[in-house]
Amino acid sequence: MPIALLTAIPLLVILSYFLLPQPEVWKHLSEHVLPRVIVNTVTLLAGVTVGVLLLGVSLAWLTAACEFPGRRFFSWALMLPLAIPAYVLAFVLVGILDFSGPIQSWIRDYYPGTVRFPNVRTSTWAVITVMTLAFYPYVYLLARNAFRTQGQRAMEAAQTLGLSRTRAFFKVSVPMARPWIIGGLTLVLMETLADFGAVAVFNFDTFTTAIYKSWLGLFNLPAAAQLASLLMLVVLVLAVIEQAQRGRRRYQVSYSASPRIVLKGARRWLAFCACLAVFSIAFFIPLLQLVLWTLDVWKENLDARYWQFAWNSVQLAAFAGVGATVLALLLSWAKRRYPDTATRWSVHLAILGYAVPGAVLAVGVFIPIAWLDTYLVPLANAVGLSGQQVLKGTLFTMLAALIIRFLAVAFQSTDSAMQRVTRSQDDASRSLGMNARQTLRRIYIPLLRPGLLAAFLLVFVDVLKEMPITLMTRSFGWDTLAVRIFQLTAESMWEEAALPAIFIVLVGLLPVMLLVRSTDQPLAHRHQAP
Amino acid sequence: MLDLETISVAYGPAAVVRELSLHLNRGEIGCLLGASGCGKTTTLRAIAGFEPLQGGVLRLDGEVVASASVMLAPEARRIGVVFQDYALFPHLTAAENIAFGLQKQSRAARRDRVQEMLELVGLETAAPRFPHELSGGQQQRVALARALAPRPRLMLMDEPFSNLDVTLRERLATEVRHILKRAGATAILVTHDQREAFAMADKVGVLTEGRLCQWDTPYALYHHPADTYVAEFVGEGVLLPATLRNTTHLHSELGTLELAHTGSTPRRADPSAYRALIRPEALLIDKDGPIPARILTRAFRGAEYLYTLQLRSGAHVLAHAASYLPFEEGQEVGLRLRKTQVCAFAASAD
Repeated sequence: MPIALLTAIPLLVILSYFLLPQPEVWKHLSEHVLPRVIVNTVTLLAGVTVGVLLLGVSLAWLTAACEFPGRRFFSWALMLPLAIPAYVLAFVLVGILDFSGPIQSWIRDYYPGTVRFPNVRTSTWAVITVMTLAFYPYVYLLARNAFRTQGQRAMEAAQTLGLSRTRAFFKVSVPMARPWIIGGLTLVLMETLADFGAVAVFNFDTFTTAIYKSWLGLFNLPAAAQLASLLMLVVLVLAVIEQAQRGRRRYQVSYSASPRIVLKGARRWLAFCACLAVFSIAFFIPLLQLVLWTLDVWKENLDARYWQFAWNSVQLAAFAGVGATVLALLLSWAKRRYPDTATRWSVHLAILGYAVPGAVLAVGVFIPIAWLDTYLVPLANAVGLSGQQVLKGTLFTMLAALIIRFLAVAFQSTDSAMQRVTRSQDDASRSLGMNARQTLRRIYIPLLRPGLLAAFLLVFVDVLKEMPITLMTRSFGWDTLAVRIFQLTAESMWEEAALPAIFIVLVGLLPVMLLVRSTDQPLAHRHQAP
Repeated sequence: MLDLETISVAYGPAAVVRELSLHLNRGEIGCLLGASGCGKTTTLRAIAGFEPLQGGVLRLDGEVVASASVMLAPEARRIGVVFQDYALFPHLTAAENIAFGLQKQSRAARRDRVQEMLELVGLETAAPRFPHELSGGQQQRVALARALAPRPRLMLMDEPFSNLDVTLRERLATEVRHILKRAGATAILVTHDQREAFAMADKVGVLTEGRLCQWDTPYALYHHPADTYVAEFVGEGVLLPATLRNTTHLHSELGTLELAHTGSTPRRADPSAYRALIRPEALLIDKDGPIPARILTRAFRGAEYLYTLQLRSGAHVLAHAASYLPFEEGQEVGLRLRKTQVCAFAASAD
């Protein structure tokens, strides 16, 4: 399947760098780069794992199984931090806690000399906290779904066998929710490994920043590729775990929710405060700060240049959205028409891009394209077009990398939309005299339309927020909003960065609202039941 | 007008339908009856054109529609299908669903035909509604109208009542039969429910493991089953051991029986190894009855009890009796044969 090749080529290219290493490059890397990067990455992963599990699972339990004031609001509000990209959360929190930020200034004004604030920018704890706050919703969402729908019957059975509700929860619901929790955790770890903007704000060297620096500063492609290959291996392990967990999730349709544990006394308010604290720090306060900063700076900064960045972002997102949706549709169609093992594996391979960090993909796409260019450039010159590059550094490279990365997102939508057209509806259309093409036109397209729209929207928003691929593969001077944020935060210009950031966050709220609405429906398949 | 000549259908290496032959006349309603997995749905799909034939010939009105080498596409066969899950198109109203197969007609003709169909199935008010706004029974009727609208040569129905309440089924079965007869349609339906089959069909075929045991009227299936499978599958009854005395009579624990019908007889039949079909209505529980028996269990059926009795030899038989005069479990009673004519099946002496 050709689409699978699209994804496979960059991955294989990267892996080849691992399998055929260049000793001098490795030597340099292992002496100067690897130790720090590995220690940092491992620390980060460990810290984020603990943080996300603590936060995500406990909050999920509170909102899924217990009753306390504000529970209904927090159930969906605790997912809102997904709208804020990690790098935005990073610079906002740093900006708030920075030396010249509001908190330290206030302390200095009223209580001079009392508190010595640690330097947030160099603190590893700060990085871990920011990542935890940015990514806990993945675990929260999945764990909450699991708690609400799985084990209802099993819980009731456990209660009839003598366990109290709390004990039954921990002995039955939590183990049954394990595949979801682990699935959420692996997603978080993949996002953490892939993250580039947030760690850059903290000057925290991980694989992604090292790849970027090799790429940019030293123009050392082999070094970048070899770092990327190491990262790829870790990611592949995670991806395998995540896929395995998906297979282990058993979906039960529950028709009634069991009664909630009503918290009493101090516990009620403890729960309320915990939720409020997380919601505020992860969403409300950053949003508020962004708005305040924007109000400060928009008069000077909302100029033609800014609109050009916004337009670039929108253009890129729109093209990538269309490309990814079309490919995803083809994949869904192929999966349905040819349900054999070979096709299934090709589809799996094609959507693997979601696990690969953007920086790695950028390198993995760039190398084959640069190679291709060595053949195409002479050809172009022969035809009369001047220039050193045909494909390198153009929109084509960016789109290729972005589509590979986000194909899975589009595919999820198109695939579930495709599955809603039942086989017997297809057969019914044929029995009424329509051939395959007419069936496609009169049955599939109308029924797939909402799914295609959702696919486009989701990819659009993801590309809008995306940073490393855009940063690394764009042609010089062609900046998007995300790139702009990176440039400004590199100079610690938090307030100016708020302007592009608020745009991204507001657009990012759209899919999160969709997500919130869709997960609040009962998880039974809402098909037209006969 | 429908001819199946020794058709075989297979999924990969597994044969699902083996050399099945049947004939259906124009205007008749046929039914394929059998347990899950017997191949009835596969046969239906092969007739419709969704599965290829591995062997045999399928003819419609004398024209070869499918064989091992020929396969006419479903859209060209003019066969209407009503699916088990109705397969209504959710983005179209009931009227639009019914009009779906009428694209070749003018708008006026289409409108008239849709109206005609709606009246036929009794759903005039439901025309502008979407499938999810209709009840199960209404959806089924829309599916029926949709399949009938393009005047197909043959109608196929796959377990049409399985998604509906049991109480509705028999009533709807007669209603649908009425609709099909009024439309003059030739139809085959597929079901595992005997009562549905008997209520709807002129000819019923019993299938097991891909093999057609008997293709006959419901009465014939019940009273003259072709083999022991059909005898045990259709209705209730037991197979009692019996010995053949002469060409017309058997001897059994219940006395002398007249051999009214026998299934396929092997070449050398063992006269002492016959089995006679004794249905519950053949026996009367009578305290003066000549055959001693003891009541083992009873099942309340409303108007009657179905009793399971044990004969002196240990063999079980079934009998009905009106429920207002019940017998108790464990009671010793007498049995009398009401009907001495039976079906019996021979076993091979080899």
